[in-house]
Amino acid sequence: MRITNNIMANTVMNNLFKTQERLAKFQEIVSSQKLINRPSDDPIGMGKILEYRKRLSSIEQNFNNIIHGKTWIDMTETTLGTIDELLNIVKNTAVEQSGGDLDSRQIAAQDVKIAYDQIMELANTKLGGSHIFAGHQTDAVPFTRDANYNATYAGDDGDVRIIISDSMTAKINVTGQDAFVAGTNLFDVLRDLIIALEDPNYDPAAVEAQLQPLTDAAKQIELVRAEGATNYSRLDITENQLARLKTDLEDMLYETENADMVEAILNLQLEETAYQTSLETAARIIQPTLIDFLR
Amino acid sequence: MPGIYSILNVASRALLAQERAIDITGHNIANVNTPGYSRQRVNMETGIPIPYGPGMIGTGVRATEIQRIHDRFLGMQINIENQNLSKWEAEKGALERSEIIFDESSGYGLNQAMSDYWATWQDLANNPSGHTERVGLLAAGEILTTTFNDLYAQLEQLQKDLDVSITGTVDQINIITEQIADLNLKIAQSEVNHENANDYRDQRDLLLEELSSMIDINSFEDDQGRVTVLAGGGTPLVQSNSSWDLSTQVNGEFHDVVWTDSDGNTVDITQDISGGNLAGWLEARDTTIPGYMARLDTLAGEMIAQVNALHQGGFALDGSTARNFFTGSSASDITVNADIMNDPDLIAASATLAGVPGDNSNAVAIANLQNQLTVGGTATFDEYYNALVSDVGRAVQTAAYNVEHQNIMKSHMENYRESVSGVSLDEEMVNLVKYEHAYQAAAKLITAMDDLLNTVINMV
Repeated sequence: MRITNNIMANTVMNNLFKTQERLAKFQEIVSSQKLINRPSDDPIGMGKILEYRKRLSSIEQNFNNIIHGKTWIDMTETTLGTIDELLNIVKNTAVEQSGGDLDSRQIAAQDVKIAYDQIMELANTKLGGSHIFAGHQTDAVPFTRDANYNATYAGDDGDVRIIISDSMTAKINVTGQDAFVAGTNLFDVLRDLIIALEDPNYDPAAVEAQLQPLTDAAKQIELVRAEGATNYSRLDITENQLARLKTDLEDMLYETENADMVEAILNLQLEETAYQTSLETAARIIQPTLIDFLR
Repeated sequence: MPGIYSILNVASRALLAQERAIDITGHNIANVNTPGYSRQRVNMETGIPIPYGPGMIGTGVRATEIQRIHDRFLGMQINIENQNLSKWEAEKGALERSEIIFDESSGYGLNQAMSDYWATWQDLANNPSGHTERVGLLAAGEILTTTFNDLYAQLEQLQKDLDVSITGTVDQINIITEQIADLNLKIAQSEVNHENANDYRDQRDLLLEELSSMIDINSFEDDQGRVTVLAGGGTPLVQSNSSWDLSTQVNGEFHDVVWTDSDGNTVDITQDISGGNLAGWLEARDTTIPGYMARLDTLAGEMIAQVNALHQGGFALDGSTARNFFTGSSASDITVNADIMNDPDLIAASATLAGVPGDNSNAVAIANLQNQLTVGGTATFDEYYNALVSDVGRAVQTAAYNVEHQNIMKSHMENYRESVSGVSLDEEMVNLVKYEHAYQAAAKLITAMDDLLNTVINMV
């Protein structure tokens, strides 16, 4: 092939451009520390990155939901625990009074009345503006009473559910209906006890008659507490699973997206050497012509 | 009759011929870097011999023609490669711009906007009557819709920019075809006298190459050396000494390329253009980018339909129902319902009649849309969009590969042409030395004849 000056110049230039292009590529990788800087760098990788990012962001949101759920269940559990203790006290009072101590009746009735109001206040507990025992009627105060200690429930039997993972929800609430009304109505039992204690024709048997319902009400609360505990541990298990998944996803995202710096810097140095070599070769090839020797 | 005088004639013809050769060598050296220049050569042959004495006596040398060293086939091949290269280059440029529009590598794009949007529905589910959560959802919804609108608007702008490039290129094509017709005339006029119009031909070849970077052309010469240029689909652009102008005509939003015949009838040749920048830009403007826009529309349309369907079935805090969350029907006009924007309480988080404040089941249902195969029953919103981003990346990658491949093809061809037609300074220097020596020798011949004549004169 007949080689002309332009062929040599073009070849040198083409090669220099190519080396520079590769050099720029590796410089970008090293400076951004990312293997994929635009979709065309690796279309499949980019698709994976977007998927990982989306899943990580929904896991992050699930964590928020779970924390919210755990707070709610914790709150419910503490409240129900306190109510349980109050019920025990009331039960002890009732047991004592079924023995028929005349003097302390009024005091006992007073105690039960205080316990009644305390329990009602606890049943109206709020978490961040929502009444936790009101079902879906979170704005309404769930329990109110009239002067004769007749309680009314303003809530409903709605479940509060949170999203704990992709398309999976968990129930976090206990309705006032389930805890205090359905089956044995705790407030009615307390009311009857108060009536029995305040009755001028004192009948110890009437007080004693409330012992079994009191135990039933406490059992009913135990039962909802057990359900709450199950829900809580379900949240705990899911949280742990998500945490593991999150670590895995972060690893995969990092591996897909980020450059191995050792490899990247090594590649950059290799390209730098290649570039310098091209430049030196170019300088040697282009310089001499026949003119240099025709003197 | 041979003699001293005829030897002088031989010497003077030799001087003239070598001088002409040195002239052309100078022309070659001067044009070593001129684009499109083909090296030239003086063809010499012996003079007509005279039959005399023992045999034919030669009458020296004469320069017969100045020839351009050129391979027509290579020129045409380069034009074909050039058409493909320019097409892919134009397409790559347009695709790279759409890739920037879809840039998700930084993490602030539609993907993120969608994730944030679904996350705020979950926040709302945690506290369905909360004002903060409702306002947060509206803000995320607004970011999502404006991201959709922006993406669409930027793609539209890209289409408009490409349209401007297309109309501009059509004007350039007209200038070039006019110049080619002009050169056709000059070449025909020179070559009628059997003089090679070398430099004009080089200029014309260069113009043809330039033209081939804009539109696919087919060219051939007639018997007078005039070139006929046919554009995509066989529409004549140049014929003998005249050229036909292309023009652009508004069709819908953008311009079509049309050809006007001598009677003023217009022919739309947009579909026939298959090479050059024009083809690449037309492809991007009329096929590729509208494809991306349609997919964005599908995504936005599904998002509107699915969210609205659930939202309509839910109840706001004031108990009202059957309200759309989004208005609009496509990526360009999707917005959050203005009523809801004005009153966050109208977000239907509840699935129970009368909008129970603590009921989050509708918010949960909407948040769960994120993981359902909502688009065409085969993909989630995210999957559908991620596939779109991947496809944009893949299209850029394909275009880049093709550009690289065509570049290599073209530079191979150009090297071949350079090998045939290019000026080698070393070769020219060798020629210069060769012709210089021949010139000196011929001059020496004249001095020798001078001596002979002196001798003859002194004899008297």
